[in-house]
Amino acid sequence: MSAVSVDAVSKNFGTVAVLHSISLTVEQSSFVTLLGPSGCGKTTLLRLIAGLEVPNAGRIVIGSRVVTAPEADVHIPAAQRNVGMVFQSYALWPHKRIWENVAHPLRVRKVDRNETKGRVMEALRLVQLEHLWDRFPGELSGGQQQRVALARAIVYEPDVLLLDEPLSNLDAKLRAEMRYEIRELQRRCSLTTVYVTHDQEEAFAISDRVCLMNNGALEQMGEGLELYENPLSRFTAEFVGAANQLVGRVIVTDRDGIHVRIGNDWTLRARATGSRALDVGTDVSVLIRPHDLKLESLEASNGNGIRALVKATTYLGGATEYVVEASQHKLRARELGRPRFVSGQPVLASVGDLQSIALAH
Amino acid sequence: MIRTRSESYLQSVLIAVVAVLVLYPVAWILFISLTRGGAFSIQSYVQLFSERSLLSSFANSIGVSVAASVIALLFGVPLAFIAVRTDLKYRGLIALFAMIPFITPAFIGGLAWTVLGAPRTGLLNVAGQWLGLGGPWLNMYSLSGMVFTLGVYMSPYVFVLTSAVLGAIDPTLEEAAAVSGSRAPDIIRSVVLPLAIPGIAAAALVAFLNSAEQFGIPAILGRPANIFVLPTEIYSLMNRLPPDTSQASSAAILLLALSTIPITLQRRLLERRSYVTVTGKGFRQRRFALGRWRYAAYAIVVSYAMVAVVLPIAALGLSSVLAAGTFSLAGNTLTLQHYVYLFTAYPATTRSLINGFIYSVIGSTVALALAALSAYFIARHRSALTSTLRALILFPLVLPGIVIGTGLLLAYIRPPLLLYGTLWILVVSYITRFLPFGEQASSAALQQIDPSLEDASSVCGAGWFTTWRTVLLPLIRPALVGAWILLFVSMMRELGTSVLLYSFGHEVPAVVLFDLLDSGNIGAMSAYANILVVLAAAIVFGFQKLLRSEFAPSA
Repeated sequence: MSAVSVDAVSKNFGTVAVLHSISLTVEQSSFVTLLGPSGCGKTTLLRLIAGLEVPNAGRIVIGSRVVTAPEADVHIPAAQRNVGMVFQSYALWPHKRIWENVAHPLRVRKVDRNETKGRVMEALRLVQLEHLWDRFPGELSGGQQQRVALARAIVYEPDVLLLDEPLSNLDAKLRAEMRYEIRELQRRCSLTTVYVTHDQEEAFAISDRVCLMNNGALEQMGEGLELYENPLSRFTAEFVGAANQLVGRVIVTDRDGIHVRIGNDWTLRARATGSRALDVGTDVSVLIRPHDLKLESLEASNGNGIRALVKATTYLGGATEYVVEASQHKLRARELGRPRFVSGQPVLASVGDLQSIALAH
Repeated sequence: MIRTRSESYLQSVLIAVVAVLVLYPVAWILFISLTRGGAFSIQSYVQLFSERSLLSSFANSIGVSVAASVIALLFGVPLAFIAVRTDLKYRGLIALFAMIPFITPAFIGGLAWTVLGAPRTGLLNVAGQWLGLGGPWLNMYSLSGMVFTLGVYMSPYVFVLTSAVLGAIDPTLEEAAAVSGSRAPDIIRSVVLPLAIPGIAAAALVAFLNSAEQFGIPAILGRPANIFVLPTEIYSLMNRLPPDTSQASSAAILLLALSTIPITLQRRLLERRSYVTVTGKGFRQRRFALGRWRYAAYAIVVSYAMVAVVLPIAALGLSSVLAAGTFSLAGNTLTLQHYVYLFTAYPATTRSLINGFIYSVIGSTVALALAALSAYFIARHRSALTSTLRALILFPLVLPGIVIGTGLLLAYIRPPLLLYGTLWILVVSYITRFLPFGEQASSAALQQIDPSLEDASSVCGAGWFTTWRTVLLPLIRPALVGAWILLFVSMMRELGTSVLLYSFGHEVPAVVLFDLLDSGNIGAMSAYANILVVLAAAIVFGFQKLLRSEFAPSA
């Protein structure tokens, strides 16, 4: 049984439609991330699940309880849904001490004093903050506040834990640390979790499954690797990892892939991952990840590939990025190690068999 | 954010209450203005523009308000500039001018200026005589006397609003001018002032509106010379025997139009422009070095302090301890008899203070509760319904006190809501008049609160009421307490509405002052005014910490 199911949910703000009939399910104890650019509707969807907004149409079920169904005039307010939520701004109440913040949900549930005390300290122990129980939020660092918000959200054992870009206010190092901790906590407590982020790396690192959203619709859902390797759309291919984009024409199709001619002198064998069949003679987009574009000096190469001119070389520390021009396209290539080519140097650029992706143009 | 059933119920009740408070009296004014002897008639409106005395009141209202706004700008803008953008020593003290309206409101200033500038007995005239300047050189009972006094007491509004814009100008705009070669006077002329113009214009409008609605100063300084403006005209029409309610109502509608039209025009004008320079960010602005100009700056500050605070307070203090109530070159007796008289012989003193206290406590509590809840719905649940609520609750901003008084008198002197003759008509009038200020203070406080703090509470399982009690209220409490105190102080001395609505046994301080003036008991009047000023000063300074946010705009 799925823990959360969103069924054809639509939401408008005034005349602006932010979600178009979106459907998805979250399995019990799994970690699902809503990923997408800002304005794609991911936060709105999270707030709909929390009960902080009412959808215009559709149905949301948590466990076996229908919590929202506007057509049937069903709406259970946030306070009665038993969901936990961590807000982007943490939303710790500045006038309450740490333990009071964490105790609040238990107090409104009329849990008795002794039990409240025990559970608050247990939750604070889980996030390793029991020593700061008597402080005010303003006296804590960003990362600590983040943990308090987490403790507050799990102290009442919610059916679902919702996290709205919880790490976006932290610096890069702390972010990596916290995302590991959140994942650990989720595993240990077997919490069904829905997580919102615009950061692809974070999404891949933390979740069982990723829902990529765009313009208020579900673009693609699956494990990170699947989204990366088999994007169904150009949007997915571009959003998940950078990609060079070229336009070509299908000249041959075979069982595993299609042969695409780019310009006059470059032919590739690419994987067609989209849902639409790509017939011979149609124009397609070809996407090449920068690390799949191999550069060789003209002397060393075996002659497979296309002649290109290095336009810029950037050493990133541990890796080098090149901008090369080939058949009137500017392409980005990336490889580990120090720079091997300099600006102005002619090279041979190539892409391995089936390492590029062809999608309907 | 989600609205539960109890919330939408509460919201409907609020809208209904506010609508009745604000619209019911105005509807009665409109209705009565269009009736004569029980039948429909536009006679009152015809007369408004044909009868000489009415026409001249209208013209006086416009002329006096425009001239007073000019004076307010002449004081207020330089004061704001000096306080916010120059390096003058002790400039921090100028910020205290923002408190003047709460300590010496315009009509108490007016009373003080009669003590200073009455043609024969005025202290300044006596001083002139002593200096050998000859006969009375100053006559406050005149158009220019009214204009001057109004202008002086409207200046703090201009000062506060102008300080706010001057303090919010992005300093990089001035730095850009400096880098491109402009010197300080040029930067002020070509960058600072133009950017402040919208704010100064808004300040001028506020000064105009406040002058046009003023009842106290025209009643104190104009009536003795038979000069009337619309508020005093309405008052005398209502106090005639029998009252000419229809004529008074049409004049009230005209006065309402006089304050509504400029506001509407201003909205229109400002809609088209966008001033992105004024951001909410805190930044350090540079202060202009005054150099030799500092003497001019001191002169402005000191002369304003003299005419607005020092002279009036000194005059009231002096005349309250003189047996005759006025200073005489022939000799004076110092006495406390006026204070003794107020509390032993004069019947309404203690009563009016107690009444004022009770009415203001009830009034400011109810007004603030209504205003804070409304501000909450307006800020957190955007909808057509809450925009209506906002329009309703801010409507009294354009309602002059005397118009509210007239409306309430017409509305509540008859069933179904028969309130005349009780304390409730005064309380209701105060609530109506000061609702907008409560709303503005509450919404300013709410804007500081991240809505996710409330979301977090409801996700945690707290209902609407619990969230209010445990999260919202503790966070906005300091601001609400500050607003409550200012509402209390303002209601405690409200004149414009009280003067029409009080009845025997329900006197309030402003009415008593007015009465003492009319009976010519200047010594007792000054003594009573002193008591009020000291009370207000004690409250405002006593709670200064709490009130800081209310006086915030002056940097």
